[in-house]
Amino acid sequence: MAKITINGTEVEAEAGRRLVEVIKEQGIRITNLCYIDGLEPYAGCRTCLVDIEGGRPTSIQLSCTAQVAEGMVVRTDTPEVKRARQGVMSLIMANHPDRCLTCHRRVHCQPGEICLRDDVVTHRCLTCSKNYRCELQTSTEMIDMGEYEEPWVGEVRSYYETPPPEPDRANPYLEFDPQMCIICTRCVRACADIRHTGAITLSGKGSSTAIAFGTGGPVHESNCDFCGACIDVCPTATLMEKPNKWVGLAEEWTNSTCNSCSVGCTISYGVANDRPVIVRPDRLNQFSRDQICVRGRFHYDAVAENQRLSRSLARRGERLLPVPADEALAEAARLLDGVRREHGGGAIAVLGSPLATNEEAYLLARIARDVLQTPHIDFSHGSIHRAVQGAIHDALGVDRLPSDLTSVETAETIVVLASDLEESHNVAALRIKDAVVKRGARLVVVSPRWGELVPFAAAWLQPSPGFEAAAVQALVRAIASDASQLGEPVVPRGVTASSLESAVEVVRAAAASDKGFAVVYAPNPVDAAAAGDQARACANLAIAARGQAAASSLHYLPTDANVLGISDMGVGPAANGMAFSQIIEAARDGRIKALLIHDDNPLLNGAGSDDIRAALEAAQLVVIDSVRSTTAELAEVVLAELPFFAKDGTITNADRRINRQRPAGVPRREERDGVALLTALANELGGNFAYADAAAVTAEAASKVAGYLPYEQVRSGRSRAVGAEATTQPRLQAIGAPAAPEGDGLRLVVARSLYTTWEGASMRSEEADKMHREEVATLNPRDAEAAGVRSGDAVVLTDGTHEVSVSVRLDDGVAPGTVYVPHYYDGGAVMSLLPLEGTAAASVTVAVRALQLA
Amino acid sequence: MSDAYDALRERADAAWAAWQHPERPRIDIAIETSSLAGGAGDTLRALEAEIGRRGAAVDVGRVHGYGLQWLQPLADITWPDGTRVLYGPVTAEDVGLLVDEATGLVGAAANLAVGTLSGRRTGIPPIADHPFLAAETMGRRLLARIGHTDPESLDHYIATGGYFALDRMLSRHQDPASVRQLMIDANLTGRGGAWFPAGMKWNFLAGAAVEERYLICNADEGDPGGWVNRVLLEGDPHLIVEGMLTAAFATGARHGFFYIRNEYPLAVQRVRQAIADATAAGLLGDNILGSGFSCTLEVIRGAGAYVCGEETGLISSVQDGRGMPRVKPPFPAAAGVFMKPSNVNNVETYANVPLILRNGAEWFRQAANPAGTDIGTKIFSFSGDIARVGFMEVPFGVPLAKIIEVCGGMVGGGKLKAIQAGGPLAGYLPGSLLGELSLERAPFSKHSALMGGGGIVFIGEGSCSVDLNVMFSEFLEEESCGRCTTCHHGNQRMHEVFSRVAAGGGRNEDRHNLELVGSSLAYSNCVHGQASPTIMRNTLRLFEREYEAHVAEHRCDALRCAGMTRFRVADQSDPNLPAARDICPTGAIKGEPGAFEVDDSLCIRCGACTDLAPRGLVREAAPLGTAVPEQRVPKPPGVPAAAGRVPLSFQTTVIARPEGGMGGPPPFRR
Repeated sequence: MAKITINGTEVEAEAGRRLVEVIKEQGIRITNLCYIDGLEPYAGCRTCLVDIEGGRPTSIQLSCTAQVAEGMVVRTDTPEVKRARQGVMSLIMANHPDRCLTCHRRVHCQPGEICLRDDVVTHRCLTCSKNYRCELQTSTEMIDMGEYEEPWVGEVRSYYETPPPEPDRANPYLEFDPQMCIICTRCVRACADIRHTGAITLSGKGSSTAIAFGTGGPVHESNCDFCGACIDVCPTATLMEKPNKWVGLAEEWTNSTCNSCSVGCTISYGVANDRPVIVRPDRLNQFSRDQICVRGRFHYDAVAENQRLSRSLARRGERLLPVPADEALAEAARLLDGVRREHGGGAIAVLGSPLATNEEAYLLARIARDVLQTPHIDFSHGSIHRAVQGAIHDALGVDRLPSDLTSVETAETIVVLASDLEESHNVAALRIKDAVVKRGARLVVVSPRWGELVPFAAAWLQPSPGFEAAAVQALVRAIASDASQLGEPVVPRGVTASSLESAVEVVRAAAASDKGFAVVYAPNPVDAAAAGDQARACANLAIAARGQAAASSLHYLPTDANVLGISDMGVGPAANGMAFSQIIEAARDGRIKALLIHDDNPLLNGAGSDDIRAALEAAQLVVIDSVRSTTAELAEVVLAELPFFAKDGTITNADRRINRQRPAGVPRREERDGVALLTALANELGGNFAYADAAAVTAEAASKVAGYLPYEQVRSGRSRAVGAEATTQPRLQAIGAPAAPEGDGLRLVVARSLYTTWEGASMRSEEADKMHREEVATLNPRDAEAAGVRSGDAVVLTDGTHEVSVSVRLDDGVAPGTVYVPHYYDGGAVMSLLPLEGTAAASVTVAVRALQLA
Repeated sequence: MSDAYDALRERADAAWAAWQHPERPRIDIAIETSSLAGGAGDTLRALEAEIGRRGAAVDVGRVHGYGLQWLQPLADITWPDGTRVLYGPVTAEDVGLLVDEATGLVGAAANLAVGTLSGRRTGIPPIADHPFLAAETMGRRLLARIGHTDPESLDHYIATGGYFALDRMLSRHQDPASVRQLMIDANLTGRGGAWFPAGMKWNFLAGAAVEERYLICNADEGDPGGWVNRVLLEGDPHLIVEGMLTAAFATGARHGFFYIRNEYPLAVQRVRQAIADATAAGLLGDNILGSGFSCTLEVIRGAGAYVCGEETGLISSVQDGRGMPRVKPPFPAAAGVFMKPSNVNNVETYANVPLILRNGAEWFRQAANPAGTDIGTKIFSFSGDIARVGFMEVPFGVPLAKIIEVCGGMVGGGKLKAIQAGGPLAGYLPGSLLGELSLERAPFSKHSALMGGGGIVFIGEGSCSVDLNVMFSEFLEEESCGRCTTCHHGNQRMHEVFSRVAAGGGRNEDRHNLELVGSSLAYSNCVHGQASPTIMRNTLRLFEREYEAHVAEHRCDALRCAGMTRFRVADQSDPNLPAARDICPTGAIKGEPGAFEVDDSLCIRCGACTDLAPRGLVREAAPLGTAVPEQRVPKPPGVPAAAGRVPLSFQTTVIARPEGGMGGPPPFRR
């Protein structure tokens, strides 16, 4: 630590730190338009000038390039410093619409008023979407530009003489208005150094210097992932969210958690007019910190407000019609009670959802257990989670992994098994890239198709679908001391010898070292048997490399946000209870008469759409949801619920952090909080629930479920619900050969894409569709040639019975012999090509038929 | 001496002897960028055709021009007796005379003769007696081979003492520290214009903590009017290779980059050839001359950015990054190319190294300015409105008045208005200071200017300081890398102000605003931004009266500034007037023969018409308030300069006619 003096006050700071950060930490306001905390200084804006005693050639120096040194004497408030900053700022403003920035009347001025200074409307801050939340604006105020002479006002300026460049409004996420740009290049560096994407560059030189996406075309033609990290750092209105751009001035901020995947990034909703209008990362989650992805930032807006349920619905003849909330509730209770009286509680099944909060899940489980008295409770992906959970239990002796995702960042070696982690768990992929780029970690990716993590990997194993577990097991075999427990060796089809060799080399080195080691496993929620094998293989790898400490090295990332939380809360079959696929079969066969479905949409998420549809049509449904989903369309009663961003509660993310969701919206009509709805429904059914609000549920859950805490003790991003120590020694697990594929068609690979969330995909609407970046099937060029298909063609995928038409993109990132379709394409249409989970072999074959050939 | 070198030397000596005393006469054509611009390509083709047509017993060779650029294309004839005479300018029409002369018709090309390079020839004086070379009082050291050897011949280089010093250093296993000390003892300073002691720089690199380290040769010579490095790269590439090898040995580097600007394609080609030849001869690569020392070199072509002449900008460019100067520290000696320790020296700095290694520090120090502050000889290139444009190698301290004298004075006997040394960042000084100036650092810095890296431009009285500032500020603005707002926005402001002043819209507060920009520019990251206001400040201080005349009286005495001049048809009988009418880009010249007139409201004052019809059309001072359409409007970002402005632009003057001077008459013969 060094002692320095800032404005006469002695301050202790780490020697070598960038001075501007220390100044800001002291609460001193300083203009710094190009600096990004934590990154190397760019030193482009030149506005962070301060006076450093003894500086050469003058004492006026940049505080972003200056480094803290013992005895440094700094002044930020001398007239000379201010004058120097004003001079530089006047040059920045000369190339930005600047009249309002220096106008003394600005605070009194209204958008419609005539400007006394004869300023053009389009050049006024008042007509700028960033007004009142603009860093350039606050910076000019900070150094009193209003009192500074304005040398360039009235000057014939290139800026005003040149027609402004066209803003790019072509994509649904990001608006790029180069006219506002002051070329601070924060976006360039955020994209390259923080996100490792590099979609933004600096082009041109001199006064033609400009920001460009990709090679200078529209944003959506670059490799931009629309994470919005550039928006967060942009000091002007150049880069802004397209949704709610003009109303995004938040009245207040609400700390909450994103529920688009299990990373559980903490976010803040900016709220205006009682609805969220903007999202910013919230640093509470130590793993996500200041980063989120396109889903977290934009998908609160994926469903238009008028498409959300504001009133409950009940079936009147063929139609679902709005009915008063109490009437719907009574009808739902009557329906369930009728079935319970006639056939017993066992004729009712309950489906929960990983989008729900822990509190809702706790109530749902209580309703099943105590009120309806049915053991049949599950969710669409329940068996996948249980397969993984079981495998982990068998191998490591724990039900809850103690591993912490932040240890992935510091790991020296990382092995990732996922369909495409970049798309399914974007921020987790980002932190892995961080580990590779910033700390030199070595990465092995096991994935049947190319993803953006692959270029960062030391080795990429590309097994044929179904052979992922075998590929990981091959790595285990190379380092395990006793391979006899691993079962018969299975050759991982598709994996090349050279890639295996380099992956083995990486894993061997990790086994020999005692530095951080991480196995990151994100199951693809389609095939439970495969997920179990993959989890066993991953656990084996952790055991082989780290022995007793294996559990801390294995990271399990469920696909959806609160899989771990709702399972902890008891959403899962009780003793003798049926799992999801059995519930569907029973409902189809008439053994289950009624289903209570909370937030789940089996038609969207479950494989075997035909069976599921038959089951949902055969049984009577009570659905609680915020949108009129495809499942809700089949219901007798739909109880209108508040959307996720308006819910109060907690969710448990992949590394078991308990994160608060706080309401960032209010009911518009009769929709109600899930906790209130479930409590009321239970009471209608005679449950005698006495929960005033979510906090009361949390308090009770905390006393019943190990590891959970009452509200007042929950610290978002830091509290973790970790379970007991392992009861048994780690044990290597055997894995069998995958089921052989049938037929000679292409093998279908289905996985979650980056651009579509569950909520967005639940709706078929233009608004929602806009938020999905073009979703297409991906085919290897070799197969495409054989089938006579070209890129952009519309094709029909068929298993003989069902057909899915989709346009196709050729990409050698998918293995020959496979076709990849995003899970949520066309509302999960592709799930009809897969058999009901657990009822057939792990894979299916499909034929590709080009439409124009038909 | 190593055996390997002896073998090379033996072969080289034979080749050199054959070159000096050819079996039959040989005509050498100067092939280099400036001679090619002057038509040497045509001359060469015509010569080969002429020899073929006649079946003459004459060979054709290739040399670099001798430095007398106004006489390009230069050629020389070597007879079997060793006599060698330099001729110029030899156009394609003149080749017959040369062949006649070579084949024995003595005196056929006498009118073209410039001087003898070796031997005697009646009526032709030795080249050293040429008045242009009168300032070369220490003789030619760096330029010793220029004009004598084939620049693409390794043999010629070796036979004239090349690689001797390197071999001696390697075969004696000299201590690298002693080589570095030798450079410090010689007081070899950076020839790029910063004059930092090269030996000290080498010590920084030698002391670096990381084993992997790089050498870089800065051949991004972008200053308008400076072509010193190009002469060395095109004329004696092996000299630089040997210099870099020596530096690599002294600093522990094992790989070096030549960073050559893309505008020097011939230099790129010749250096690549030199590297290939040296590698084939065992002078580069692994185990050089059997000494165990290894080093490789490669050529990187620049991409046209002026700021890549700044060493950290150059380093970014070498790494395939955007050519932007970095934030220092870290300095290149700590983190340069690929963040590894690196050392950047100028071409001419490396060129001096083999000479010092061979002849010693004492010999190098013999050449110095009278005060003893600037050591060694230096190559300078002289251009602008002088009669003789060319380059020469002089010891520091030669008075500029002497230079003007050897350069034949100003074109047409005109007056010297300004002296611009070292490119647009180094400022310029009024001609009235000529008596105080000499080719050393002190007198320039005394007047807030710099001597720079060797390019000296003499500006005649036909130029206007405001008009020059319009060009310079545009150049500075366009060549800003885009990092610092002070630089890319500040220079834009300067350009706008000067453009407006030149257009007749000067205001009293402009001076203050220019000073204001200048003070902000001082807070820029690199020297480009920091030094940008130099020329503006020099104008306001040293050309104050002329500037104030523009602002207060809207008067441009040089008749250059568009807003204060107009064109008038002075002589209707000029037969070139129809052509002038046709070339006018805005159709401002109207009428038919005998009745031409200029429409002021259309004329953008580009001057294309007077170039074609100098007699018929004249510039004159325009009355106050004359409207000038669409001219000198600041260039919009991202849009190339308007076509109408090209004739006045900086680039045209300097790049298209690099040695032709700024708007002077065509080159004339001696």
